[in-house]
Amino acid sequence: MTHAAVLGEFEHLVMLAILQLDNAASALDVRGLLEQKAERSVSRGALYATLDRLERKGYLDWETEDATPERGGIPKRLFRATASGLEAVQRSNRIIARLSEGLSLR
Amino acid sequence: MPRMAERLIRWSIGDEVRARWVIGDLREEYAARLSASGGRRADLWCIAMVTRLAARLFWTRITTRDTSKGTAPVALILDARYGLRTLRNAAGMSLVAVTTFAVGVGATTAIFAAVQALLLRPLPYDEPENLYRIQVNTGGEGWYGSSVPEFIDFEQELRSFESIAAWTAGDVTLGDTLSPHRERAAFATAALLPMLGVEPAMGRFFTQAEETPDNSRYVLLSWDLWQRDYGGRREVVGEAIPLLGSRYVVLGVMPRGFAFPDATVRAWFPYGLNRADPDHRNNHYLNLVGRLRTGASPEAAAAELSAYTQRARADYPAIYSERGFRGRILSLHEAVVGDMRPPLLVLMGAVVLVLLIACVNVANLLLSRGESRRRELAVRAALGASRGRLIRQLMTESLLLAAAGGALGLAVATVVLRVLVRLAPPDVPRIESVSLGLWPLLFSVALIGGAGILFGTVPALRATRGLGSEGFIRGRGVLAGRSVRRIRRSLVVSQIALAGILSVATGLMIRTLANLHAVDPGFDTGGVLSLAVSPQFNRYQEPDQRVAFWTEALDRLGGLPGVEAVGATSVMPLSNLYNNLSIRVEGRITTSIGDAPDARVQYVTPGLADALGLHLLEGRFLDRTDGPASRPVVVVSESFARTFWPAESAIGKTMKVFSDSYPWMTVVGVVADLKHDGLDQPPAPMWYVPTTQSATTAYGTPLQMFVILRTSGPPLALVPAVREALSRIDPTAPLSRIRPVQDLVETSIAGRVFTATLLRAFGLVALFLACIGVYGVTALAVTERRGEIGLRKALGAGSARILRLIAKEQLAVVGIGTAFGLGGGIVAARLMRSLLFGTGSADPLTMAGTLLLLIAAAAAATAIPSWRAIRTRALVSLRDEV
Repeated sequence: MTHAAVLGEFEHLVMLAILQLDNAASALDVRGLLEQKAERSVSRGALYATLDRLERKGYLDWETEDATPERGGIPKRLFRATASGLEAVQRSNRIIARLSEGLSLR
Repeated sequence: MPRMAERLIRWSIGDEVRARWVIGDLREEYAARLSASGGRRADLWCIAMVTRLAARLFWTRITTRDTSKGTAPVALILDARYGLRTLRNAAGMSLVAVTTFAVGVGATTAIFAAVQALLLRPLPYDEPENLYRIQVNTGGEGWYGSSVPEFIDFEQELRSFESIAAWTAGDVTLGDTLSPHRERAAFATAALLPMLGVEPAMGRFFTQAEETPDNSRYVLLSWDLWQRDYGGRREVVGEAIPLLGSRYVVLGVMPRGFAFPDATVRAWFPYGLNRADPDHRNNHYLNLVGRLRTGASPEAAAAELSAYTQRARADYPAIYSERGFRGRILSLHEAVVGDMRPPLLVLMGAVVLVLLIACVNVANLLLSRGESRRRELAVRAALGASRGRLIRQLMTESLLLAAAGGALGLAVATVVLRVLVRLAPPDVPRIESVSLGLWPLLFSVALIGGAGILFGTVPALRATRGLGSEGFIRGRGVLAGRSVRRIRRSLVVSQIALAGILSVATGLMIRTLANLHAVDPGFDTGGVLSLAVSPQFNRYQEPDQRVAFWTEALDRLGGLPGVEAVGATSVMPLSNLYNNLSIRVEGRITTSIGDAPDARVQYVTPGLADALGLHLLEGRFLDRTDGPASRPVVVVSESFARTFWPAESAIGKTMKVFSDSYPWMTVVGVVADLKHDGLDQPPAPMWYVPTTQSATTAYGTPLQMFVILRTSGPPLALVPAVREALSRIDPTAPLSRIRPVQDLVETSIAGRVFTATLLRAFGLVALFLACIGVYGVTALAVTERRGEIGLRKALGAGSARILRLIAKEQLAVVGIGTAFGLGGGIVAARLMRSLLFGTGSADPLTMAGTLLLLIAAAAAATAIPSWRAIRTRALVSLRDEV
């Protein structure tokens, strides 16, 4: 078996959120969406750490959007999933689907 | 967004590029909140959020070991995490090290807390460094207070002092027929309380107008007394309360905790000094304190005092010519705490020794641990760790040990401190203020850091030496190098030496106590009760009224069941209070009071000799036939007789008080000396006059006296009957100072008992810690030589031979350590000479005892490893070697 890492739960959620946001998501957007859809509060620290980790694993990369005055001249990163990132999400989805098969969760 | 917040984020991420993205996002959110809910709320949000975020990011950085751009704290925390793990892996060693160190730190911190509170902390007065006691000597031993005329002169002449105040202290009767009781009080001139810079908690101080002889019936109450006797009623200020058989107006209440001259004083009265017609210049009973003017130096004040005494010697030759007149000034702080210094410094020295022994133990443990970790360190070095990096790692570990030990040590300190305060003699000034405050805590933190570095450095340097040389990684790496063994042995030598010093000091202190207990105080202590009875002055103004009261009282008490003998005296033995009078004795020509000898007088009743068990040496004691009408008689002490009539019997000789108008008294008896100032002090010449005659022979008849009762049962069981009997004669005369005479003896040596008890405890701890050290080295030596021992056994060596092998090495260590210990002990004993009694600093018995103790302890410590060595099975240990 190849040593393909399985996404952690939070990593999985972050990746899904980025895909939901048309593959061009700022950290703030990701956080907003997760808080809204995933019914959980998201700590900034955890989010930045996770984004950095996903980037190191090669699942994410980003491009910058021009700086606005509110950001005091600092441009904004817009994240998108890479091909291997997409693959990792699919793999995780498959695993969850397989493991859920035939269960009646009531 | 606040600058600080951004800086914090940058620092916690440690990477400028990555930090920028985060900061950009935060700025955006901040801007949004700013426009939505205003600056204040945005700032609050920002602070809360950034703190949380920074903590989280920092933690992430540590846990992922990202030290690429490591700032110091990150590396330190990493070292600490790694250190904690290694220490946990060597749990046994860590536990021993931590406990050992905790004991050392605990004891040292506790004693330092006492030293700080009792010796170092300034007195609780305004500019206390400018307060000085003024004392004089006009003959006799030591320094004492001044006479009234001298005080009046000082006020005029000593210009360096802004003001000078006088006081005396004594017991007063508070209350009337209902519940009269005795309280300690100070009688002070009006300058005293303002000089100290305190304010009354309510009311006011007395003024100069309120301290004249005919207008001085005012009193200030202590906070405690006000609470206890007056329920803290504010209206009591301004009321006249029953005091001293009269009524005194309460002017005010002193603040809580105010203690001058000491904490036993519960009331302050105006002195009522008679400046127009002062008492005699030769009567020294005023305690003086003065406040130096701003800028005036104590040297200048001392010079003025000395100039004055010289002038006075010329002006009053009748007073001072023979015995001289000298003065000194002594800082009030020194006067209050001076007596506490020697014992506290000895104890401080003792705990420092304990701490050093503990540190040596920890150093030794770390040293052997460093040896067994050489392989690990070598691997790390081979992988690129610099020596500095490894030393830092090892130092972090020893500091961790120190921190853990120190934390536990603070708990130990709390316990030690509680014991210490409980054991302390009751008369230690400011003992109630001893606690683990800021200074002791800072001290202990410095101690912990310093000790951690002290016991960590050598092992760290040793363990990381020569790691580069090859062979270490493959080799066994457990056999200690010769030099390490030498270091370890010298560490143990130093431990034994330190423990030896402490043993000698403890031994000398125990000897001192034994010597003190062996001193004959000159009276019986077992089964004897003493108490003070203080009738009210206005009921017994005439001498014969007093004699009548005391005769009846003692007759009644003598008739109580269980009372074998009863007597009364004006002063208690071992009380250090006395009435010293100038006298004339037969065979000595005395022209002026200045060349008159002096001796202490006791006004007594005939029963005293039997009640107190005085040893009659010659003649008879006073008896009931010595009445006002009969021949004036006196009994003198052995040292009195020896001082004034050295060559012949004192019986039949005559003496009198200095004043012309009093008659000569005939000596009818000589009694053995009675210890008055302390068991360790030489007895002072003393004379005893009967109260029935003293009005005509020795200036007066005492009213308050101490009753001495010899009982057949437990002394204190008699108290209710005594109280009952006396209240029938006079219910307004309170009883106080009720205690078995045995207590007097115990109290008089309480300070030394305290020092000895603590020293013994510290000595035992030191010995135990040193034993751990000896055990450690022996055990290690045995382990290292297992192969050799096994081989020897296989070749036929018997147990005795093996034992000799082990013993030979340890004997040298113990021998050298003991020698140093005894030598150091002699030096230490010199430093504590003022605490010793009846023993030299090189007391042979103590030295021999210490020697035996150290050898016995060392033998016990080597027993287990030696036994292991003997039990070593030849083949097993040889197999291990291969």
